Amino acid sequence: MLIPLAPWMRVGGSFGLYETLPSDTTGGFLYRGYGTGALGIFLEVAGSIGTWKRVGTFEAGGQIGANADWAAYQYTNLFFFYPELMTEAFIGMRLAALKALQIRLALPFRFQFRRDLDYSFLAAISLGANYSFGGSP
Amino acid sequence: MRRILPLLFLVGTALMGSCSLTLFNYSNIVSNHYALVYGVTIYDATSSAGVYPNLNYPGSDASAVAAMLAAEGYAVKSKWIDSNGEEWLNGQDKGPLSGDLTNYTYAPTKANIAADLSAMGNVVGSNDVFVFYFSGHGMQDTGQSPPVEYFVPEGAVNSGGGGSESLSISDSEFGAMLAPISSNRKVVILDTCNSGGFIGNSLEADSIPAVSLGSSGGISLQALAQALSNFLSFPASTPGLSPYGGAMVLSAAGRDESCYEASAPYFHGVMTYYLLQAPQSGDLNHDGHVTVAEAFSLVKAGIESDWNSNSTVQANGWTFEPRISGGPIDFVLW
Repeated sequence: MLIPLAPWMRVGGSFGLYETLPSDTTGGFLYRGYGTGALGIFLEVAGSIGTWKRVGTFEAGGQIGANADWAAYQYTNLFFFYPELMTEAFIGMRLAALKALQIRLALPFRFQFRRDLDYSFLAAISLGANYSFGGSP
Repeated sequence: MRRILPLLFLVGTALMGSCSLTLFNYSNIVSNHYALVYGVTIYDATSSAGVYPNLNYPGSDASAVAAMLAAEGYAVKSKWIDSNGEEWLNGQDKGPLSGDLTNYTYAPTKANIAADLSAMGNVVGSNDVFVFYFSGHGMQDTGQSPPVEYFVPEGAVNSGGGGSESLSISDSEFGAMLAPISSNRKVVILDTCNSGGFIGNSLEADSIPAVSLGSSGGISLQALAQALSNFLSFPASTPGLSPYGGAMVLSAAGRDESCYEASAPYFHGVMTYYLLQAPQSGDLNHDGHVTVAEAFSLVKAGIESDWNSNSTVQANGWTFEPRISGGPIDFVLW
């Protein structure tokens, strides 16, 4: 869900499902894999960086936000909770033929405040698609 | 005017990398593997196997687990009492129990287990893997709050057939016995009733209740709320062996739950029967290693799909669920 605050700024809510694979077994141990369900809020700023008539409109922007994560270790029924802060930079392309659809390439970074680890973070390259009901945002 | 625009976020592809740094330093590779293996079939030498308080298969459990671990490269020390009341030391028959506790030279008594663990403290290095296995009776003292769980070594059943708390080993006593072993890579496997009480999760919430009553877990609002509560109160003082200071625990049953042994096709404790399949079937992700969590998953799947689905088992209320401790780390068994 997105709520526009200005033509270049909006706040939103999100729900995501993630799977973190276990690490390798070097050293005779591994970090356990887990599946996560995350509820989040975010602030997003974005601006147009160009238009290619036949293809669509390009925009660049960034997000900051916070998530509440519930996770369960692989193979188990053991649930645990952690909050996380997230930020990401992205470029997006809104298709001329389907303006409600935006293809987005992003670099998310998430810092997880886990009680059982000193540091836990995630950096990624993600490719996603946003579809807006009710028109382009 | 603000507009609310619901978005459907379509799943794309992502290349992710994550990094976690733990409270312990696990940077060095494993040097050696050690194991202590125990089983008690005969608690009362005047009665035969299978007649309470005696069991049928803990001796077979210990014998088979010791052989499995030895085949996987462990230096194994073992003590068990077989169904004929014979004492076995490191795979050698040392003759019958005399019935006199002071003569239980080779039996897995509390004193002998404590002495073995103490001696192991001088052997196991900080980068070694240590496995402790016990098969036999377990019990729970519900007169204390929270309840205290025990496993019951040889000599800990009194003449009335009840368990002696002073001659049994409680979760906190066992934690103290494990403390001299300096390795953080400690694994405890208990095929006993109430053994879930030895798991000291302080952060994770297990969606399988302390007595499963046929539930194999899953997402529940109660578990999610408990997980949030645990996060807010961590580190809480909990009974059992915290994975952060103690060991990774694989238990046959929940804290308030019984587990079972059975004749054909098992001829073992049911949990141990499936654990013994780990060398052949335990490498679930095919990476060439079997971890504690993989062994647990194999055991859990076997119990649920086979034992717990049996109509006789269900009719008699003999269903149970194995448990595993939490924590961010899993250990490679072999």
